[in-house]
Amino acid sequence: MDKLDCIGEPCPLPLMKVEKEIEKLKVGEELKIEVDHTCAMTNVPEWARKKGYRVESKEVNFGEWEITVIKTE
Amino acid sequence: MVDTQDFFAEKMGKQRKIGMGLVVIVLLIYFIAYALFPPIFAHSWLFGISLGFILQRSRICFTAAIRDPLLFGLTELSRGLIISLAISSTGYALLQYYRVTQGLELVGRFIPLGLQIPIGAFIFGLGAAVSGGCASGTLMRIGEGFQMQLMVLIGFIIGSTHGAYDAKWWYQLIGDWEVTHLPSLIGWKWALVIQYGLLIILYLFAYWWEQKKFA
Repeated sequence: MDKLDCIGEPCPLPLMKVEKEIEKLKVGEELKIEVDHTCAMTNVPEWARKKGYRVESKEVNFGEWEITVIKTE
Repeated sequence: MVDTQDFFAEKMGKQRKIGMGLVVIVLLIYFIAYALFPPIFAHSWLFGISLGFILQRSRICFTAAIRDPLLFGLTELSRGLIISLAISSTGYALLQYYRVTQGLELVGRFIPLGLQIPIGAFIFGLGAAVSGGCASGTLMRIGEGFQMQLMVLIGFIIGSTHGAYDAKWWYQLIGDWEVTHLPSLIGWKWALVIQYGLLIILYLFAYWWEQKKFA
């Protein structure tokens, strides 16, 4: 399973990478993204929800989150 | 939004304790500053801390509010910013109206209209886009432990020290044209109509932009 490592990357890089990676996925596949930038914690889920994808997120450590985006449509 | 179910409860407890400790230290410094220095220092300290706390918790990012609509078509932050501008306009209008009717001098930062505004805004925007944050955002991220922003802080300190040193020379370039104060020019009613009208148009435009991008 793919995991996108965005630790230490400032906004807007995480979302730009997610945009590219999601395109490669088939419907039903999921992408895990690790981020430690609070800005990415707001705009990645927001973007994915508006695209109609399913999003789950959890805090795995202090200031580190794992976002799971499941491609639907 | 964040699912904290698998997050370690005991770590949360530790974080709470550190937080309470920090609150006590902040208040201690406030009382010491209040006792030793003019009260404005102590009040500024408390005000600055509160502002920073709200900024971090609300996760507002002024750079993202301008950038994300263009890059991704997301306008949630931008619309939040527009609403906060509307709220602060109301506050400023009340304050200024009070001062004008009492015959007092206006308060606020007034700069004459001119080419210097778009030029300065462009330079500031370049810096903010490259460094990943405006001034408040940079400081906030350092607090969050984002190390890359420490480099930005060094540039930030050098830049603002240098800027403060030459400020006189730059201001003399602008000249002392009279500042533009809309209510004094066209009256309070129309100034407010223009201000809120523009903000409402911007808000609707942002909403429409997002609908279009995610159609």
